[in-house]
Amino acid sequence: MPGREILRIDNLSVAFKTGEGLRAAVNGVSLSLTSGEILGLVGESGSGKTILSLAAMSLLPRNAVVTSGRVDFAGANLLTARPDVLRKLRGKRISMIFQDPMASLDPVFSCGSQIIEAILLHERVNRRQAGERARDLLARVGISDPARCMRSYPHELSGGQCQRVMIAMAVACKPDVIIADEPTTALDVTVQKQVLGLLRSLNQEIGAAILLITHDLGVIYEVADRVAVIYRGDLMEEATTGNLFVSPRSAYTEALIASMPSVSAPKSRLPVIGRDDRGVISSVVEARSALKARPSSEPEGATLLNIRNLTKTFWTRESSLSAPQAFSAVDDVSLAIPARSTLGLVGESGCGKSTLSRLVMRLMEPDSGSIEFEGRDLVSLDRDRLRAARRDFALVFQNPYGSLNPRQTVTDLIAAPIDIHEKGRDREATVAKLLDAVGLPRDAMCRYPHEFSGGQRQRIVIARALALNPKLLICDEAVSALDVSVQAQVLNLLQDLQDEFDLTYLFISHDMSVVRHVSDTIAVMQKGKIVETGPAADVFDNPKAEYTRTLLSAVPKIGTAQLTALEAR
Amino acid sequence: METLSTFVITLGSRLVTALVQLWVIATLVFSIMYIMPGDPVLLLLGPESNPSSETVAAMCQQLGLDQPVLSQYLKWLGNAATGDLGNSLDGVPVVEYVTSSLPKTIELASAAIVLAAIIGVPVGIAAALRRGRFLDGLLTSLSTLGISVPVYILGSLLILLLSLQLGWLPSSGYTDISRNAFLHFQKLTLPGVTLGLGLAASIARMTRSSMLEILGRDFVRSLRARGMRERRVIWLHVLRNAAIPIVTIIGLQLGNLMGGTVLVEALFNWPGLSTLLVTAVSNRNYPLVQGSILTIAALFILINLCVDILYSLLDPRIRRKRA
Repeated sequence: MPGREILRIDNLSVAFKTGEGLRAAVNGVSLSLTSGEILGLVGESGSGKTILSLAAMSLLPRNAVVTSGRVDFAGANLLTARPDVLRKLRGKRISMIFQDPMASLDPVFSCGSQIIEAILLHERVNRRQAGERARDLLARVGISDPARCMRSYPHELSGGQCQRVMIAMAVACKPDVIIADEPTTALDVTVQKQVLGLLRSLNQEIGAAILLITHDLGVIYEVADRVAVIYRGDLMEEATTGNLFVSPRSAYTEALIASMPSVSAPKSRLPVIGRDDRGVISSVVEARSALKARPSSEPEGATLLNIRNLTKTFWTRESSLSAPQAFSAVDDVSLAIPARSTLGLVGESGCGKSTLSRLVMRLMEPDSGSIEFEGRDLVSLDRDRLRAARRDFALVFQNPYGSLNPRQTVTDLIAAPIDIHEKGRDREATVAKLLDAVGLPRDAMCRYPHEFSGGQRQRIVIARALALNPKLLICDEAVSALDVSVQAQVLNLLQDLQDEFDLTYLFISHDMSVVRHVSDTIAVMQKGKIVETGPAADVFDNPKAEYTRTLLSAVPKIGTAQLTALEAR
Repeated sequence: METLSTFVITLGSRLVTALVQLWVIATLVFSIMYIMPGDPVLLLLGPESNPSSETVAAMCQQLGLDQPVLSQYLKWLGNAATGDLGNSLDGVPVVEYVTSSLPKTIELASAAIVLAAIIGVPVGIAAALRRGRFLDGLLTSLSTLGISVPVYILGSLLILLLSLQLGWLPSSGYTDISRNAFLHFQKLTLPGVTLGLGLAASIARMTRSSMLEILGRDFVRSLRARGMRERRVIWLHVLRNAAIPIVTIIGLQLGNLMGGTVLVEALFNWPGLSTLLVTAVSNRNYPLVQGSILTIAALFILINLCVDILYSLLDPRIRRKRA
């Protein structure tokens, strides 16, 4: 069945109109998709992969211009086709699945009516028949109660269910090509596994070719037949999935694969992607930025943070008159973190990880339990003493774009804790030292957050967290919003800082491989409870809890999964 | 079923809130008599009258002021609840004044708001769809002009042009619809247009910004990717999502129109609630002041209640998540 070329992108260049003229986003990329295959398109944010996929649907934003090339599909160049021609192809013969399934469904219409609408756009059936088709499709994509799902609105479904609805719509008219743009990025690993499995089986069942766009090499490894790698708008290489991972031809691909945290060599320094003045890319292991600045004040192994039987329950109500229902966000959690070690806390969204971090920061009142920090119970402190105690712990948030006030300079941002606790004593000098420590140039001091990239912003956030020499740093999904190569830099930085400043980390993440890389001990959280805790190697190699096993098996792993996937075919 | 019962519960709790609001306002209105500086009786009788103590006592009795405050309050609340707002100082029941002005105000306000929506919403949509182009600039400037021109200037200009120069429309007054329907609507036109144009401008701005916000959402892109006609994307999906802020501003405007059309009513000699209230205040006709304020407030609350119900019809997230 494979072999017939079905979609062809030929020498495509796209640029954005900006104040300073055109800025290239995609440079002369050629790709072809044959029927029945899954082509993975991998690249980091800003690499042009999404623009490429939108161009393939002729859905480019208004400020984008095609400077050269064509997209051939079903005998037409989609880039120049008339709107009515495009309309008949879109959704019928070429369909698309987007990254954020919740945001991609219209919130004010029920899911059923949206699927029915999608069918009626292209098929000559009546509403009742379309409704039956919609129910069949929902059952086909693994929705357990299709009738209920039909009546539900998007906000009443989980992210995974919404993505299933999106997939149902995408395959409703049995298209020849499905473009899936980061279809699992917003989903938990276990849900990701199900959705990828679904795409794979639909690919076999209806024979649609899939262009799978992602930043996640593991996802590519599990489901793609061929891979195209794109970097800064240029196509770096195209190969079969097996070949790409065994013997990557381009230096960028090699560096990208190397920068992924690997389960086999935890705590090692991750190579990052280096680019010299001539634009030559290579995989670089950065030298350690600083040596230990001060001797450790405390003996190794003493418990810094000890959480005992911590509980937090939220009360929610369906409507204003119905009885409130208890929701245990954190349920009898006990954890101990030794000084200068890293505790990795993993779990899927909604399991209570972030609530736990807020409780430890005392940004929220626990219902019961104790939080002992250096033997002192934080729960019983009054306001003033809590304020004073706060200087010993700091929080690094997930989104570096949202956690910096855009109207403040970097100096003001980093010095904020100094201004609060030490009345701004030596602020300039301290900020300069902190910038050195996190690897930012000193001329950053009078600049504003928008002048920095995501990775640099996260460095600013980390510098601010370190301003008062805290003992405990809580990293709540601190690298989740970053690209693999930037993530590698930040993970290296966190490790250097741990040695330099004697830091203890509570590292919260949904990403198993990142947690394995940084942690000494790991705690696995599910529905507000800690289901397993132990040394990182033990938890990974001999998981005891069923849930840990489920989580681990859902992580796309390079090196093993492809074999099983291939065997299954 | 589930949806319906949630809806009924929501509606019920909103009704209870509305009644509480109404009670608070009734209490405030009742206390006007005591908050106002000076003895209301002396004020009512006039500063020059130099009344005898018998006249004052008679007046007190007539107003019920000789009774304890609490019993006055309960009596006032009970009467108001049954629709009895007391007698005006000239002896005519307040309700009669109110019921004669109320329809005129509602008619003028409705005409203005319908006109404003008919102009404002399409103008806002057109501007949003042509964002950054000539038409957008033109419409946005016009709406800025519409918001900034005071109603009495606009009203006077319209009278000068349409009535005095061209003679198409009568300049002011009110004719009962049963006497002469044509003349009735002719006389409604100028004040309606004067009020409506200014409101249309702010509706247009709100529609434009709300539409632009929704147009940038992911789901609009996925609707287009599904091969939907642009017309359907805009008029069905985007507009329905953009409707909440638009409905909010229309509701607020309609509420404000109930008692806030003094200038237009004065300019066009339109005998509505605002005119009634202003006259009552200047004559120190306190029972009439109380009655008209209570009516205006009740209308405002009623309109807000309708807007809230409309919200839940428009947006399922509000319908089911209301806490």
